[in-house]
Amino acid sequence: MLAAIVKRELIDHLISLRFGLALVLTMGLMVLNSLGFVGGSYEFRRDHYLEQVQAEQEIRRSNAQRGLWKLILHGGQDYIYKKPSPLMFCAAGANDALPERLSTPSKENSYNNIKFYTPFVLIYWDIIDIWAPKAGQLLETQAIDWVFIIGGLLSLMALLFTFDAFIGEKERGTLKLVMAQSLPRHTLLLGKFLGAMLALTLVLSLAIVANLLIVLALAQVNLGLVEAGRLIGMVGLSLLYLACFVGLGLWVSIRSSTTRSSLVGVLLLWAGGVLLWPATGGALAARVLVSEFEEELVLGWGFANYNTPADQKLRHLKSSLRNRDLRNPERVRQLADVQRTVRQFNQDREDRFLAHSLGEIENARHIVRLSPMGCFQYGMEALAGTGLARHRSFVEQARTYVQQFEQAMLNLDRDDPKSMHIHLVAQGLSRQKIDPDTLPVFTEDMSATTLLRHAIVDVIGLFFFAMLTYMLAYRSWLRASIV
Amino acid sequence: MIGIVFKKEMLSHLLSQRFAACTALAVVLIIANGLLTSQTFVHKKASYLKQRAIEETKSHEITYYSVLGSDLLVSLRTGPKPKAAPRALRTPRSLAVFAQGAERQAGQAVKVLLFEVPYKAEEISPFQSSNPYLAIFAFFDMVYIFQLVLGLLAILIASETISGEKEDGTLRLMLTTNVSRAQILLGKILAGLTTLAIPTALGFILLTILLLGTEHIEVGVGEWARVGLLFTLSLLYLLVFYLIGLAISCATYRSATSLIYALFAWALLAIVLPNSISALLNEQANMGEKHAEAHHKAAQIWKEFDQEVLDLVRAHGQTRYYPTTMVERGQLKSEVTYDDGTGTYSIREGQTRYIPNLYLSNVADSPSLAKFQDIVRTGERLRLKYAQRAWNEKAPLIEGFPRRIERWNAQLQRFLPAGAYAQAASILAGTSRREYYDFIDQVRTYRGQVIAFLEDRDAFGSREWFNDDPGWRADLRDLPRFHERSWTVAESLSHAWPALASLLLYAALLFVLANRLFVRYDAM
Repeated sequence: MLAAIVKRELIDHLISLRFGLALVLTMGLMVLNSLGFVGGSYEFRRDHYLEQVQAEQEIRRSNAQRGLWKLILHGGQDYIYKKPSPLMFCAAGANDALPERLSTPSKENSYNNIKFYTPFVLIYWDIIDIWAPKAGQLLETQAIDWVFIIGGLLSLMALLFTFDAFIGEKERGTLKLVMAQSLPRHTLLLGKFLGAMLALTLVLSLAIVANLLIVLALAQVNLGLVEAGRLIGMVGLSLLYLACFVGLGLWVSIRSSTTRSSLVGVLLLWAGGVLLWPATGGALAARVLVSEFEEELVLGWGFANYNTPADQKLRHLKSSLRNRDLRNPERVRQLADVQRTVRQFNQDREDRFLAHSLGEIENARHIVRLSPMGCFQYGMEALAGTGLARHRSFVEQARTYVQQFEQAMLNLDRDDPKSMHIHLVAQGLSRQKIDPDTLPVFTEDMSATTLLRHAIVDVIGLFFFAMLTYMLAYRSWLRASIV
Repeated sequence: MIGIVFKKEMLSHLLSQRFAACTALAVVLIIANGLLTSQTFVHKKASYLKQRAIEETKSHEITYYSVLGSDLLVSLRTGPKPKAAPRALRTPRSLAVFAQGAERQAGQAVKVLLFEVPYKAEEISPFQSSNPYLAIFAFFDMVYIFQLVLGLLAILIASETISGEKEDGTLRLMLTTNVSRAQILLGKILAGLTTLAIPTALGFILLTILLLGTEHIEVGVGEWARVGLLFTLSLLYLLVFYLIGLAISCATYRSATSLIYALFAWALLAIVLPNSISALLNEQANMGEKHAEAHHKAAQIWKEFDQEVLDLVRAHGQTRYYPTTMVERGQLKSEVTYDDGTGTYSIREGQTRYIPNLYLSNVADSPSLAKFQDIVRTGERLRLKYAQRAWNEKAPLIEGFPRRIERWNAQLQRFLPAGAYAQAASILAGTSRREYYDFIDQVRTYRGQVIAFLEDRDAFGSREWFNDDPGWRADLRDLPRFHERSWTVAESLSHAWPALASLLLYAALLFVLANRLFVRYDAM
């Protein structure tokens, strides 16, 4: 019986005007999206990234030549770059609004002709990047990515497929006929749900296949197994998202008294919740939730703050040291202690700043997630490897890498009998040269499972919305009058 | 007779659910976004005023000319002062609340550096709050909300006026009276327009109240005129969408069909097409690549410059110089330092840096002072020449190209009612990208004035160029000031004219179309 209803619904959809229009619109946009990606900015971004990584490699090489101490104090690089995602055509994210790299600056200064090296600090947003012009932002516009096409327009199609599912049949009088057969109400609802979902899946898969074919054929991009996993994840997320709107459309259709009011209802829910809420709600929530972080922290941010008591002590100590003092482990240890306090302070400041800023943004994002579009957008961004979720994943992995790198270098230092093993002071560390090829290199794990970990809230959110709308439709339908 | 049709239509519109819902949605969104935009404006205006005060006093504090060549003012006497070069400031546009245009991207201050041709404005303070990650959220202006929500309302109420009445059978009754079909259509259009004027006026009133309550705002006659024009423009846009709906309604016989067509027309014309054009152009423009290329080309030019200066210094014999080349961050930068005991003078990518502790002391005692001044005079003029050359290389990439893209975008958008509306609105609100480009051109003229001023005083060859010992202090009080000349209302109107004309043409054509369709409409 269910199969018969699904079949009837599906055929009804397939021969309808709206299906044809939806298919043309979605396909057209998906083709446009892929054509925009071909010869778009991705290739440049990728080449630029590779160039920068190459430059960092050179730095690592030269540090290794100078000795272990340099690697410990300077780290392996000046900047850790975020790899541009080849799937940026799926979800552009607010990628250009986020930093493309983290920096690990270390300074060199000299007192009394002795060179001192300040150990690196991991900085999450370089002040230079804030001023730098953002690439690819010539015209302020909404990107035509999968998020926009599926999230923005296909959700409207889902509503247009279902807004008259019940009220339309009621007005035409066919609902009575259907219910006259001994058909359980839940079967009819499920049948309509599945029928609409199948029609949407058809539109979605045709559009995605066209899109991917063009990308694979024309764009110079390697999509491997990892990307395939992420793409499958995105399709799954899209279906879950569309299910929310099919459920919503059915619910409004059951609750409305006329087709017209049903249409107005779904349209306004859609315009408000999908089109306008994610941006407005986020901005509004962020403004309301933002608390001013300590002013001096922001102002001193990105630059070393030279005037803490520890800084002064460090400067004083450095200027009082002579060459022979640096052969005395006692004095070196003393310097290392002060250096540690300063570094701790600086790193703490950066960490607190990151935690504070991201905490606020996460709260604002939770507000945005009140709309399925919010969940969908963030989930897609996470899977596409763009947006804030990916950035967080990148930051976490880079932080682990930096710590592990330092630890590995300190372990090497421990094996050198000539070293004083005093961390944070160049003179207290091994001067051994290191083979640069043995050094650990930063590689980011971008598999679907890792990325999905950052989107788990969104998946749960979408699942919840899909359940909720279906349950609402179910509840209303059980009590609805069919005449 | 039109009156009766008008009254009937108005009543049915005003009492409809969709009218209430769309109005409520538009009002809520306008308030929310208006609060955000006005907050941004207050922040921008505050930093603008602060910077303007700094600029006023700056000319008194600058004690040697070469400061105008670099952005770093270092003097042993006054200590380091950041942001030394004069800045040409652009007033934040208060009407951005109505139409943001390029305001969110366009900066407020241009550094007027002697040795670099300015081409873009930067923000005075880099972010609007202490949290830079906030930039991931966008927000909308009134024009965008009208474009979507009221555009939807317009097309919804219009799409049913004919086909809906035909279905209800009332159309036949109306046609039996002695009202002509043209009159019925006109009455319906007038009623639709009046209905749409209500939420539009509400939005304008709310925003104006919000604006008047905002700090740092000056509302003059010009602003009122602009608000009035924006209101008229909004009505014109809504009229076009109403007429699109009407034409669809006249072409179909079932209200359900006309609704579906109307919705797709709306999605296509108000959202999909305007965004697609800009998004595609944006993606293909790939400004990151252009910037990298321009940087590379300029670096080549500056390398030539370094060589020429080196020859110059060599020709003067007595001076020692330390050419150093370093590979930094993958880009070749070269540095030339020459030192004659009086100071170190270094060139790096054409930007002067002074090392003051060597520089400012004992200049007068140097025997080679005159020779050094000669080098500087020739060297700095050379540097000006090379700055122009570097710019000539860079300009097509980072200025000509984006301006061309912008022009294409403007021309393509003009074909769409929504694009034409947004374009005309941003021009009328003074936030258009074209006016911003005009500002940049003004700054470039100003830089020419500064150079002329310095040449006039032979500043490059003077001791005050690099020295501020007593008796040798530079006098910058007569330095030409920058005065921004923003477009007058008439100028804005003349620039907005093509977009306005396109909307008017749309309205006229659609009216003719709807009329023709309706004349042949089968009311049975």
